[in-house]
Amino acid sequence: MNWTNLAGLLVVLLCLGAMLTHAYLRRAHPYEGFRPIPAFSRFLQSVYHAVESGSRVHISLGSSSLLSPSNTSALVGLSVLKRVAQIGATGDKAPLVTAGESTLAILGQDTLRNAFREANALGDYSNQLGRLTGLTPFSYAVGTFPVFRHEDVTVSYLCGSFGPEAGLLADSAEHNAPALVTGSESVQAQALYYASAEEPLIGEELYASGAYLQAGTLHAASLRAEDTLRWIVLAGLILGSLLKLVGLL
Amino acid sequence: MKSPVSAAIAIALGLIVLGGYFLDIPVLQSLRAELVTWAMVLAAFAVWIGVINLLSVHWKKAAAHAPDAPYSIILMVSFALTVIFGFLDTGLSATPQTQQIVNSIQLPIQASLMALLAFTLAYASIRLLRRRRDPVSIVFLIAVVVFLILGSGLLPSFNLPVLNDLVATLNRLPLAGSRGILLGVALGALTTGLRIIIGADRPYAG
Amino acid sequence: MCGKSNPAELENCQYCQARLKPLANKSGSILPDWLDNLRTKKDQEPASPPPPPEPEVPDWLSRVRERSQEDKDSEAFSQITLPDWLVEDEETPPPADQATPEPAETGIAPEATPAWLSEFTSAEPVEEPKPVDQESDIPDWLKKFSEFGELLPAEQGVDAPPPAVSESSPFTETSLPSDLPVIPNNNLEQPPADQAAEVTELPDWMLGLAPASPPTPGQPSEAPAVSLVEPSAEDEPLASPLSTDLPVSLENNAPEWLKDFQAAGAGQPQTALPFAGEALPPAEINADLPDWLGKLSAPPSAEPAVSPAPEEPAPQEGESLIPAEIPGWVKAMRPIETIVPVPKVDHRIEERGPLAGLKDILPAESGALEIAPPPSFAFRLHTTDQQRGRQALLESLLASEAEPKPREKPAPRLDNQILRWVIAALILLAVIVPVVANVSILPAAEAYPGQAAQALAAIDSLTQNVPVLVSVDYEPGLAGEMEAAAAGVMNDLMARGARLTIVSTSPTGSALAVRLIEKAAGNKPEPFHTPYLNGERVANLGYLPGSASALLGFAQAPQAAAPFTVTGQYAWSLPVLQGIHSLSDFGLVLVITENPDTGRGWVEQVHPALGDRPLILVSSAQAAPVLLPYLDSGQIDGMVTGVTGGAVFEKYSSRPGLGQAYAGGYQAALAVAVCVILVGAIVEAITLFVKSSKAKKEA
Repeated sequence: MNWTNLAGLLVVLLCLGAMLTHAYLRRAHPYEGFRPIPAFSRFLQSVYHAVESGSRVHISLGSSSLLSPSNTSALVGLSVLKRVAQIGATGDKAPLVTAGESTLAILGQDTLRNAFREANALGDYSNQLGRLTGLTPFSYAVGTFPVFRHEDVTVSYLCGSFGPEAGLLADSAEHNAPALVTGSESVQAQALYYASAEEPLIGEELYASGAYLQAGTLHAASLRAEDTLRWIVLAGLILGSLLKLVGLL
Repeated sequence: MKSPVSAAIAIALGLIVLGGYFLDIPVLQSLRAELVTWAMVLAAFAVWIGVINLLSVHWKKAAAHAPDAPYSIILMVSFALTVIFGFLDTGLSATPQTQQIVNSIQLPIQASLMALLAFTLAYASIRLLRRRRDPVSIVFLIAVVVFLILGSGLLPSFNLPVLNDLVATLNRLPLAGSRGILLGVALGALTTGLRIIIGADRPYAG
Repeated sequence: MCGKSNPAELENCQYCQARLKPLANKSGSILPDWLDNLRTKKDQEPASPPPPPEPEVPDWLSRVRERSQEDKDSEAFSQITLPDWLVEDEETPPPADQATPEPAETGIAPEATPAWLSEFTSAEPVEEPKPVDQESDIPDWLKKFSEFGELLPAEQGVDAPPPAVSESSPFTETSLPSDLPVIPNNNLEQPPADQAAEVTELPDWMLGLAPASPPTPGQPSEAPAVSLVEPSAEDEPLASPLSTDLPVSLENNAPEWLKDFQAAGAGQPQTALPFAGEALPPAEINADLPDWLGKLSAPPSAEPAVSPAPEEPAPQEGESLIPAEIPGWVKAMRPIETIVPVPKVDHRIEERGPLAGLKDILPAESGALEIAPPPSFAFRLHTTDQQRGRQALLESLLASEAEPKPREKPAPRLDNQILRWVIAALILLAVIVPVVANVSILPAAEAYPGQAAQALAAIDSLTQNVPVLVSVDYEPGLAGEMEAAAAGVMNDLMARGARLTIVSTSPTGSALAVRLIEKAAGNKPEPFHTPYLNGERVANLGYLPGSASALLGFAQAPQAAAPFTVTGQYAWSLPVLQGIHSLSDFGLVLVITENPDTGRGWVEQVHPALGDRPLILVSSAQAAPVLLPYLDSGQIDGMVTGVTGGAVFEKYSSRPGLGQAYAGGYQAALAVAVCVILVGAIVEAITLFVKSSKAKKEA
């Protein structure tokens, strides 16, 4: 085992320990103490409003492969989908999930089905609620346009890995859905969303979705663990810069 | 499959792949390589499942005479033709049908969409101040203008040493910002992956 | 009919034979004869305490009574004859469920109307008689009852052991008062002893049914079945275990009045029982006649509430009665007359329909027990107009809430549409004019330190006929930019006679690679382009599904991950791939991608397998900021970014191509975009300033 691998393993174990520690220490009030992020509060309000008004909530998981390193943003999207489906499974119009990659579409269907089963509304579930709208990023975007136009979508959460098609998706969603929240691990997608979307999530705010939507205790704990690790990384960067400055590195 | 079983399988496989990445244990690494191969095969099958889902959605749209039913019919016909030509294709021959489809249909359409993005973004940038009137938006617009100019290559062509140094410095700014964002994203990805591996977050029937 | 006078005793006119007296009832009552007889007696009796009636006791009952009168001491109970075992048992207070309610007040002996029958007829108005299916052991209606309330298991219906009625039940505690009216023989076809035993020995299912319709206070829903016979010697040892085996359901399901009675009787002697003291006078009985009993007796077709002996095959009158299993000891007490089958004759006179007045007809409907579905109690709320108005308002609100309202989409503003068209026209003009005019202002090489120059240096170090792995990993939509960026590099490689092996993690990658080669060759291909255009020096391995995982697998075992070309040939035996066993055998790896994740995947997954072989990236302008750190860290040996980078590479490689051709239009379009954004932002700022000023003035 080389030092790089050992350091990587230590970071992973450190992160796991931080998550479990925060989950234990904050087990009584896991969701307290977060700074307000308007995008999440507006998203939740819009979801509840959509359920009340009989319109639809749409989650888009992007076009990244589940086997690629960028799939974590899509996994966050699946967590959001699960939470939204728990809220909206018994609404007039069930939540809809679109993806530009087959494995994500299958996972989206599975997540929706589980949420409907938990809500005792499995009869309302249909495989049509989880759709693969295109196999390439642009065809995925074009295939998602009709969802905005004809499916009575009032809330959209574009949460996943996107490329340039993010600008087209955001533009179409802005025209048809009053509430649009966007998040991506991709830097270029974040830039496009910032210019086009109403409520863009920048940076790692995307990974706070589960904690802010109260999807589970470990979601909140992982967010706190990220903060802990961020301070460690910050200290490491400053220390490294100083060492570089003095010529030790 | 019962949910505890699927969760146990997912957790075990995740740990094997993760351990095979960090640990120099031949068994783990061979297992990891085998699992990666399985994942590729599954991904290939998943494409077919996704295509079936895509066709079923558009079939129902066409059958229900939905507003965009004509487009659904076009999609299904195009899919059938592409599949037929794909099976007839012989590769790098003189006139491969798949090549023609890509060159004549897919590429122009997608390139047009990409061109639309230029107009859309320009329009969105104009509307940005109308949507969000905050200092960050102003900074964002200034950054867009500056880096558009830098990316065009117009300024360096003046060949002024001071200007070139300034341009080089400015070109570093996106890198620094990107690294900061990517560090946060990496931490988020790490915690998300760990939640999946320990079974706290199960985006599957478990 | 003829109008002539007849003697009073005649029933038919002696002249015209017309009937002079109605057939319905001799007394003019709609009651049956036996009931009418009782009423007649009651009317004739004085208000004073009634003398003991002259009952028409069956012979067997007379014999029993005579023997009882001889055996028992009449000092304590002058009117009630109790057997010895019952007298002994009197000293201990009876449990609650042994309490004897008031007797039925119809003149019928209480035991003649079973408790369960009383409940049915009292709680459930008879609407439509339903025949009982006697073919099955358990009637359907009974099954429904048992299934509904889980009051008893179905198998207890008939074959259940003797019901858990202890010796303290009315059957064993009280004897028939001497003054109790006795059912006349002509109306009660079955011996009372047998009937009483059957009724008293209630099966479990009957006991279970009892609490289903709790009686109202004073209503003898569980009418005491008074013993008409003296218990035999066989009876006595059976009594004790029965009392101990009292079913819990009976105790738990006892009505409240019965529980109260239990509480009161716990400390009282047996004489406190209703039947122990005195018999109620008939007038008092009539006065307290409950409604349910009136209904029972009101229909003229109502049969005496006597169920036939179970052994009798399908008696007409008792069709709806449930045959219960009679315990052996009760059967042993049965007089011999009841065992001998007596031809049954129905002397009933039809009261209704076209056969009214005729005798001995087959009944068209079942008699005593008429089962109907449970009644539905309608609760009519007394509401005021105001409440009804509020109700209507609430209903309208709920109705409107349930209907999803179609969402009104905002109509696109005309100025926005015009603005879009203006922007599009300006950018199109900016792109087209420089390309047509072939004008471009290329940046200096210093603007790209370490990028194009490093890439060119890496390619320059290659020898002739070197194998090069080319990854074409971009989407068709970005082919315009990527071809302009990569054409120069590809052209340079072809000029050096490199053997190209193409692979892609995008499904369209292989097709785009062919197009890229054609674009790099240009409109006027040179001779060195020919082997590439006809595929001689190109091995197209096609699509690698699996993204980064596929890259890892390809890096570890390329021959296993991509064994064939897109033409179906085994790739690794082709001349292009001669001597290639691993990725480190390639002289150079060129990755052309617009996706930073794909570029990162190549760097992280494949670069470790390359050894010291150079890795060059051709990326789009948007992916460059993410990938440039890898160039700084040395994991990438050269990088060409976007149209501008391609143009610079072509400039320094002295092979003009698409990059230089597109650079002018690209630069002009960016300049126009900058102008549009600036102008738009300024206009927007002015508009906001004007609006805020107006708002302040108005305020």
